[in-house]
Amino acid sequence: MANRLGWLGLMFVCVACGAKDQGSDVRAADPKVEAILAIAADEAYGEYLSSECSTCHNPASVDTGFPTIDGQDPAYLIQALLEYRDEVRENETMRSIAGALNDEEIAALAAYFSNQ
Amino acid sequence: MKNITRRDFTKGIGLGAAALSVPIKLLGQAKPKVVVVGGGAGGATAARYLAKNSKGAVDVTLIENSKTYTTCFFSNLYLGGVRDFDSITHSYDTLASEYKVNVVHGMATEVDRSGRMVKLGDGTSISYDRLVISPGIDLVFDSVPGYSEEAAEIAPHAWQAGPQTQLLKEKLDALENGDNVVMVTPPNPYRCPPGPYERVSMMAHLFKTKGMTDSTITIIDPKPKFSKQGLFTAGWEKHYPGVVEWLGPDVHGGIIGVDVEAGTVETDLDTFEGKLLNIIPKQRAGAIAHQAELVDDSGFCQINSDSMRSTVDENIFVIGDASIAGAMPKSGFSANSQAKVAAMHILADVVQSKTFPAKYSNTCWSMIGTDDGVKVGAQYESVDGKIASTSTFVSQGDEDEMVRKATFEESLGWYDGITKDMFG
Repeated sequence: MANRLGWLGLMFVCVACGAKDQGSDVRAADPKVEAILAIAADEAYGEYLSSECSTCHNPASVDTGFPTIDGQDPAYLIQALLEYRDEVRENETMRSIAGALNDEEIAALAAYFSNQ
Repeated sequence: MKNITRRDFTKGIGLGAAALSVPIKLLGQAKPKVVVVGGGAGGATAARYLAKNSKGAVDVTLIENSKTYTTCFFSNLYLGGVRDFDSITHSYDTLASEYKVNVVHGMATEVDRSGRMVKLGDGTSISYDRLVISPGIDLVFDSVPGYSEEAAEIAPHAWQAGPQTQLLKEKLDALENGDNVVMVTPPNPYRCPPGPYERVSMMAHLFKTKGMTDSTITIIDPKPKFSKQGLFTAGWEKHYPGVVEWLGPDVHGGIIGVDVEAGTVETDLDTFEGKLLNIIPKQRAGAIAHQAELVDDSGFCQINSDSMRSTVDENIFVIGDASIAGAMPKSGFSANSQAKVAAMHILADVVQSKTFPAKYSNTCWSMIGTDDGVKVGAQYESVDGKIASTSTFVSQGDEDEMVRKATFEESLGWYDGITKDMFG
């Protein structure tokens, strides 16, 4: 629940200052994240791709061990997916999933989830 | 059997292709009708995504004989005393109330493909524009000589969750120290490749918690190797030394038959005696897929890898265990993933929504012991007309206990996630 409220808080910040600004505040230094944020994301594609995530990441989830990604800051989600894709973050399932995503798909997912 | 590939009918200029290009809404019908047969991991997910993503523009009917659904996945944890039966049993109420799916409890007995109707056991018919067939598996009882549906009341298969699972649990709980279990595992392809071996782990776990140190489990396997074999074998040695014995065909020489009354399994090598026999026979697509003539010689249904559309009928999609899904194993996760691809293509057919290249995924978690979980999984795409894996992973043999504990906990979260993804 604390997590959920945290993200709600983040969403309000995003509304106030613009999602990209929020991301750049946190991770302005990462050009890879910035490059994906700059892609004109296909949100409809993001919606389709998101169905793969929702098998485990439940939108209404209480604490199941899978973080809620609805309403997630796009820069954060992009960073996380890149870290899985680059095998920096641990978790074989997420490494495999992110490894099958190209930059456009990551952009589409980040755009879709940030608007949920 | 006549095989029509999707390429044939989409490239052709015949009636089928012409009819497909006409939006169904223009054919004088209020709402396109999609019928889903089977309310498991494939069918329930398909019904929910069709209803959710069409936002009321499609009339979705789910035909399922059972009032509630008990998941095969995690049923081994129930056998091991780790989960209770209620926690693996789910209702269709939310699909009906929140997603406005017409849930019809009845047995679909026949598909009239030319009339686009599904007939139920009670004599009623339901028409469709598109049909999803997700019946799961049927058991080929006589693939193990001496075994039958009646014999399964004495020696349960418990490979379709529900009363059979409860029967096996009852018999397992009644065993006393020194009583032995003999399991006959199925040949490929079958539902849940690591399932029999997780079940053995959970049986051994139960013996351990009850102090039944003299009881053993013998596996008579028609296959020379099995899913996550190294991980299971090492896990059995670690948690249950001396309890589990696995015999492949090079050792037992072939399964001659079972006598459930005597409690024996006869092989070329020897006759094995168990107080409890768990016989899991060969499998094939559910009966409705056979009646509708959607199956090939393997007993399962060929599909187009980019859509899950049947290769023999463009109005029908086959998902889950009944389908031949290339490199994907028959699992609840696979069925759930395939359902989303099918739903996308069905909505494109009936309300002209957009399609994207199919992406499929699967992970199979297995519990070997308390806080000792392992997993195997992959991502898949349609490559040259087949569902092929693009990346795979499997738990490592040298992982530390914290990783195994995290994997087990991850599986609990997955169960919660997928069942909500299926039933809402």
